[in-house]
Amino acid sequence: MSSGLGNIKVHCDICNQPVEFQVSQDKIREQKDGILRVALAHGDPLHAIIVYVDKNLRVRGVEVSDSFQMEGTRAETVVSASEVAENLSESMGEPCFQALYAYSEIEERERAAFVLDKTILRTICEAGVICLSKIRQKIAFLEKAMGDRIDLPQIEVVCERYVQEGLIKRI
Amino acid sequence: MSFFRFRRKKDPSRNYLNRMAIGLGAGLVKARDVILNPDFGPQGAMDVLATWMGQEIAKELLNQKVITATSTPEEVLEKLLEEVRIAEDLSVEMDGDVAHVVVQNCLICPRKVGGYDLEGNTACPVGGLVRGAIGLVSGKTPQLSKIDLKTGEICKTDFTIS
Repeated sequence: MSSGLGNIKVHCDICNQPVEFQVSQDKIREQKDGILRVALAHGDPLHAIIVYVDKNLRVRGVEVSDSFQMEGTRAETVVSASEVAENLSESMGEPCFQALYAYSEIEERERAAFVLDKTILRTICEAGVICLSKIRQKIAFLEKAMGDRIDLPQIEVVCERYVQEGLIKRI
Repeated sequence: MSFFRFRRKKDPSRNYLNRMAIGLGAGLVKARDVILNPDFGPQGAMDVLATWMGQEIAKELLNQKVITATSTPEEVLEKLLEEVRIAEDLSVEMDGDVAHVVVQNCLICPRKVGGYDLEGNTACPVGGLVRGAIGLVSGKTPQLSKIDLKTGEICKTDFTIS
């Protein structure tokens, strides 16, 4: 990927106008999940939308903020993890999982669990919210370590079991 | 000056030790990052190493025609546990796709048999052995749906094979 700025144009559902902005590709690369969340304040009266941009500079989703408050000259916008995941889930058409506990809280319970299962759970807990293919990407090192292929259905079965056990949530 | 010459006698049951050593060596190299990572702990390291050992033992089971490439996962599981002689008392109960494996009087327990203090850890190879062996023979990777390890006592592991 090249560095520098990329131009992006989205439609704002509040003012019904196109909004143009620039994003730094370096900034996207810094994101753990590869998605940059941009809060765009614009218009008169001032309002904001949240745009999700991936590393290919594709817009993964646009959300309208329910409220907009200014503190001094700084716009404060909080995007909850579940909102991000729902958005990703819709745009990518695959299940996402949300951690309900910090891994340190459930580590002892899972002490004897198989390394694959434990690693999947740890990955979800560390990410907060993560989609299936991203989990696979993050645990790919285990394929080499075990000399074995780990496919998406395998990961999903493990996730579903943890959902049933109440440690994570499918969203 | 002394001279010692070893000539291998044909004893297929001894080949399993060779295979386990091969799996252990390969696993140590391929899984070194996991093994050296404290996040995975002793059980995680054993899981990955035992997966390699399970694959190698399955190759020997195939060589000796104890199993064939068309053996069901249940047959592979039964022969693997029987040939490796993990425990004095071992039962495999099939319930649909789920195999309930109960190991009593384990013969490879580092604590009970070896007398080592495991410092509260577990290092059970059963999950990795089974996963590696069944995965190699049938291409179906079993899920370890429930693991209840009571070191030196009774260990229960459920495998979902589908």
